[in-house]
Amino acid sequence: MSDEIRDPSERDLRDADASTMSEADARALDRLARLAREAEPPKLSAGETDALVLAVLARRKEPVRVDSMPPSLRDEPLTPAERELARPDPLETSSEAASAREPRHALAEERDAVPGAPARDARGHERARAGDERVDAAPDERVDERVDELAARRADRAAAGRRRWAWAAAAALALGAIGGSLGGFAIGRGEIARGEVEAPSRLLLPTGDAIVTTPGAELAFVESSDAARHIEVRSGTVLFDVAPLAPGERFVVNARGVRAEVRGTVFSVGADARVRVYEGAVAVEQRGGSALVTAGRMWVDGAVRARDEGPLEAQGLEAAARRTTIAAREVDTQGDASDAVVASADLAGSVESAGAVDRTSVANGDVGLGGANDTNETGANAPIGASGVGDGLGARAVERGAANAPATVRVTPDVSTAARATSTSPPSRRGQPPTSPSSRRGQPPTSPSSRPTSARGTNDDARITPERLAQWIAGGEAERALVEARRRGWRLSEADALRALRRGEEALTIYERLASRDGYAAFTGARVAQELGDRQRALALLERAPASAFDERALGLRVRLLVEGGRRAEALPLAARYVERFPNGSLAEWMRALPDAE
Amino acid sequence: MTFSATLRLVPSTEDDVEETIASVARDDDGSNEPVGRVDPLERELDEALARGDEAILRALLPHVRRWLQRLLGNRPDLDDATQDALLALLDALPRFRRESKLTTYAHRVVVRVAYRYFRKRSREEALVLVAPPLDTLDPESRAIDREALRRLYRALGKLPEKRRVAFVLCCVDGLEPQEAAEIEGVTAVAMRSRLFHAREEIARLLGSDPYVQALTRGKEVRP
Repeated sequence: MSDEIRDPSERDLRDADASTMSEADARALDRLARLAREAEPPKLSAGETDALVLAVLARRKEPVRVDSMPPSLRDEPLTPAERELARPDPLETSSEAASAREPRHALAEERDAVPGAPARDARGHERARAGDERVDAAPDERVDERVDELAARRADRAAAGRRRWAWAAAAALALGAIGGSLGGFAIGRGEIARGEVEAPSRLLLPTGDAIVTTPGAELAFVESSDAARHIEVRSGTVLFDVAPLAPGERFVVNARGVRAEVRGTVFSVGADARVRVYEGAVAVEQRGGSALVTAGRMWVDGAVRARDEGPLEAQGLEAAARRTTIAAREVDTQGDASDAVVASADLAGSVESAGAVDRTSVANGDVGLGGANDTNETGANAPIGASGVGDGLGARAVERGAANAPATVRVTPDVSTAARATSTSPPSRRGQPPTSPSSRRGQPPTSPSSRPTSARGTNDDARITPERLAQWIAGGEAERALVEARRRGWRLSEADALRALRRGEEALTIYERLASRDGYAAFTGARVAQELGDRQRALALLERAPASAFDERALGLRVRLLVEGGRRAEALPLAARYVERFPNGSLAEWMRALPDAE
Repeated sequence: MTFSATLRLVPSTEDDVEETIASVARDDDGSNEPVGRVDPLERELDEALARGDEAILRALLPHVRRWLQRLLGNRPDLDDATQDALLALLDALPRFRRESKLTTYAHRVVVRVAYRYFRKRSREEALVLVAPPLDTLDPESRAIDREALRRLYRALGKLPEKRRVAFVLCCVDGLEPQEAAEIEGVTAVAMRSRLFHAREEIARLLGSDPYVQALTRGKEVRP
């Protein structure tokens, strides 16, 4: 094993290389080799090891025996984050919203067009690039640099794909530890990370997000998956500078009592349950009340008011200003400055530039969330690095912006704030809601007021959401989830629960009914059919699948099923399509090799 | 760590790289010699294998990471690669027929994953976490070491991948060419040949590198 290190002795090497290599060179090589050997990778904590191993088990392609593993780990598409993403948006209930969706949709998503579902694929990346090019045309060097940074980060993000988040939190901790600013983090399974930040500190996540905190802030990484970052702020003030997210990716911050959802925004959340918005829009929910809070406004005591000066005011303003500068330039370069809404709607579609923070509830501290389409990694532009960087939180989050309002409280943007002087339309206006997920998913919308308003505390019936059911299912409480899903008529949850209970046939029937409207149902149904050994049925489901975030996997599965079924002739063109659409897809290599394979 | 001289380099007159390309691709099923002795690690892995997927993943994880780090250098996507490798191992382990050491088999799978990563350019070099090297050294030599290491990996990046792997397996991992050959699924002669060429090339690429020279000449040379 590699532990038994044997060193190539100089003499041996000299013997071998005498003719061509000088002694000094040989020695240098040996020294280098030894260095390489001694450079151990960073040690993994027990929690990180857990996370990694679980991530691998979860990613495993072949279905694992059901009883050997929690249901959540059985299948790729069932990561709770994805499940949650595929759920109806609690803030999006109006049909008005649904109808408003189309234009943006056309702009942004022609092909992957299932708004509301995570669309994480190479296309998001392409869109990001397109947007960046526009921005590159801006004369401001600083903007250019930052945009380059952005582009690089986006590219990396796209390349890293969905694995990334399994690791981000852990890596963040490592980075924090190196900076000497984070103490006492421990990572465990249910809770990816938790700890107390001791000094005002700045953390850089490998995803490019920066987190700035006040001393004593306490945060917990509640969820850290490929599709979502979910951070809970328990005390102190934290400003998030959210890097551009891949389509479908979410950045969620929870704190006590308040839940805010942001798109392309710079905002702060305090443990006093105040949400201050510096740029963009935030959907806030608190104890049954909810509102779309736009820039210059704040949420306080269940109402929307003009923003006062918050703890992270300066940083928030700066982040917002930087963000809007870039946004303005993007608009300018399109020659469409006069219509900021249109321009940025386009932008949102093409660059996914609307930052979003999905859920924010507030603990006893302040959280500042910067979600601007701007990035700040070095801190050069923001003293504390409190810049808001929240590029598109993905199709869904972005889209939601506009349309939530009808379902909640519409707040007019306050144009008086310096932060938004140059503000293009907040994402609230550029985005469109995802297709009403409820209609797509065969599940009735939940009214905002029935939604949970806090991550902890209340514990009544109103807290039952499809996400919660998914968590139950993931946690082995499928029976309970099944009962609740049936009671509420949530067909998809019902199917998921049935599946977890190994009642595949029943689940499959439901999935089949929903398949033509819902990519998730189609894909998951196909997996179930596959598990049941019914390839035909699986293929039929996949053929009917509408475009969705599951496109990549659906297509992959379809090709595999066809190949397994000896229908290579049909599989090959699909494989080619896969490669074209998802050049970095997990199966791309296999697909490329397919024509030559036996 | 102990260092003993076991690597023997036999320059091969034939350039059998081409010949080996095909053989590298073939799957492992028993073309390798059975292993007689069972070392503790092997036993540990065996037991883990018997305990199930999760156990074996946990047992392999540190080794996989180390192998990958050596193959790939310090990269921000080391953990991605680790995940990929573990995933590949999950797929591959059921096919393990105990005709080679489990470590050899696992190493082979990892090397294949590494090949995929060789082609991926890493853009986040700035964010790379540099593992703390020898603590006995003063910070300055440490910095030199790090830089030299970086240059080594840059040079490795310019090598044909097979030679790169040969160098890492034999020189960094300290495996015998025979073992490395097993991992790569080629003949020992081929491995030696690759190793020989790899060393030649690295020496050529780094021969005049001040950092590398500083390494050998000691601290008096400051680049």
